[in-house]
Amino acid sequence: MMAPILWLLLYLAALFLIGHVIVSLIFKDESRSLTECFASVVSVGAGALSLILFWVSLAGFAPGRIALVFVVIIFGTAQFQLLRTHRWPWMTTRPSAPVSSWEWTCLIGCGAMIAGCVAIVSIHAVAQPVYELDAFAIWALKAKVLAHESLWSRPEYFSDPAFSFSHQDYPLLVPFLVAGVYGAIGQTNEYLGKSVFLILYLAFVFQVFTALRWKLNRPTSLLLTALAVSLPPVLRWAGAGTADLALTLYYAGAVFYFLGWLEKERRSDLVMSILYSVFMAFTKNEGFAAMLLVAGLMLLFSVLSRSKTKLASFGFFAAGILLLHFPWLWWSRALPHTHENYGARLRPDLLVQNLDRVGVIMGEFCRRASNWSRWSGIWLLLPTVAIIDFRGWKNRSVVALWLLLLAQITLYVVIFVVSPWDVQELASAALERLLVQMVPLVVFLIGLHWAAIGDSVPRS
Amino acid sequence: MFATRQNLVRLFLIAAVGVCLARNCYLDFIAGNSFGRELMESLRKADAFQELRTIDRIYSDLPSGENALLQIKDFGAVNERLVEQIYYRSCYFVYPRRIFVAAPGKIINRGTDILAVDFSPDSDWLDRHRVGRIVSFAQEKDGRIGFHFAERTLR
Repeated sequence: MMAPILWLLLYLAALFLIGHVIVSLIFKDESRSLTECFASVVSVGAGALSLILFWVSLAGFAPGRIALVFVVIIFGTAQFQLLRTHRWPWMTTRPSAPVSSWEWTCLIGCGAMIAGCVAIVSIHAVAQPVYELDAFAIWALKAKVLAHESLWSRPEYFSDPAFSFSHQDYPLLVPFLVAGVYGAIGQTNEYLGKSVFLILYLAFVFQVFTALRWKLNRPTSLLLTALAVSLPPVLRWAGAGTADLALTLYYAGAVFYFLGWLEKERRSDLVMSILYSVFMAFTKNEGFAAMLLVAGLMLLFSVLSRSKTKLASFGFFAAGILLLHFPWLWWSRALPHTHENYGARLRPDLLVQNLDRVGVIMGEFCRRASNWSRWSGIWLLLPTVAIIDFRGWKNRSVVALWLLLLAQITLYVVIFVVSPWDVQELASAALERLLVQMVPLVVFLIGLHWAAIGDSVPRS
Repeated sequence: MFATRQNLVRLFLIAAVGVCLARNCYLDFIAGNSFGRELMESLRKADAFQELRTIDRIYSDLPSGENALLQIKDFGAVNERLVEQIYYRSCYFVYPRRIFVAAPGKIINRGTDILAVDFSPDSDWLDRHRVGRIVSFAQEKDGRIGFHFAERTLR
């Protein structure tokens, strides 16, 4: 058992190495916080490793030890070069006043809460088998397929109608990440394979904190981070083996860096936003839709600002996404759409025919979002803060996030309207996870409104 | 100083988030049906995930290179979820070997697709598709689910 664990550790080390090299190249000598560096290194590392395994598989090599060693050699060399030339992001902490007793209270209380959540996700991810229906029927099955054979000659799985239940056209970021573990350890061990979900959850914790800390002071950022990462549905799905938390993580990053670009117009934020957007599109089909929403918003703000630089940045964003996402678009074009195939169902006649579903869907949405036993009032906190902070609406980031949230809700309503499933059945199966995907937007919005009220980061 | 509008609002928000956090803490760790407790109990119980482990055991000694035929008999539509669990888990567990539940080419998206199947291949077909095991799940008249499997020698 020791050898597989050592190979797993090497795999995770490769993930960190890839993330660190890429993030160092993007941030160069910019000053970034330690939490941001950790979140971005892990998130980018996981996404990039998965994308590399996809490309390697397209070239005819299933994830395995040889591919892993090659990746480590290439990125290790790059890391060595970066060390020699001192191109390294500065990890800094903001100068702040001495830690107050309130801050200590928040640090200890929220730290204990987050540690408890990490413990739960660890046990769920590593000590339990893949038992969720969606987890083994969709994601773990794909991981086995990808670990077994390369994509060079399309595996039979992807065209066999008997596997249609497993959504053969779903993107492959999470399956490749798990297949990489299988390839590295040399066996299909679903317990070790699920360990990547713990890493993604840790990155999510740091990503949320980083985004909140942008505008808020430390205690408030900690409070809201603990609130977001300890929500029962988030915990429930984090270590289950599905792709929902990975999507939520990349969505959080894409939005955070998009807002950073919107306010500061830094090229590094734009590049990070491209990477996170590509990763979320490669995680789930909802991620592709979210990527289009972010791109649409970027275009809208670029046009409204009448700035040529911003329009050029949008062009760079679109080109970057197209370049990185093209291999998947090209390879997946021939996959059978024998399951839901929402793209083909988005027809005006079907929309009109099922329009009476809207009331039911909105009712279900409100009923579930306001469920005190699942969401602890976070969905009620958002309108409360938004009403209190009427001044915050002047902020571009607040407007952008609200537009994004409303667009996302509208998109999900449309999907429910055209869905071939019974609405109640679909709501039971999917709505909670769709709400999980929106958690970053909700908590960032609460944070931005709160920052406008008070508790913002002192301006120097 | 204390009673400014800003301070009152801040206190209100901190209190509101505090209540939400306390609620999360209760739902995650303390409540009888909390996820944390369920998780710990499932670790202690020897029969956790019994249904899945039963399905896994059926195929655990299926020789490599051999596939299985799965037959679902007399299940009511109310058991669609269970049918899905049996078929999906079987497919996942045996991969890269195959589970045949319907004639090749039949699209299987959900349990009702399996329940609608009437598939009884002959011996030649089973040999051609290297089916070395026939697994049957059936719902008895009293509602209980039973299963049995039989080995077959490939020609």
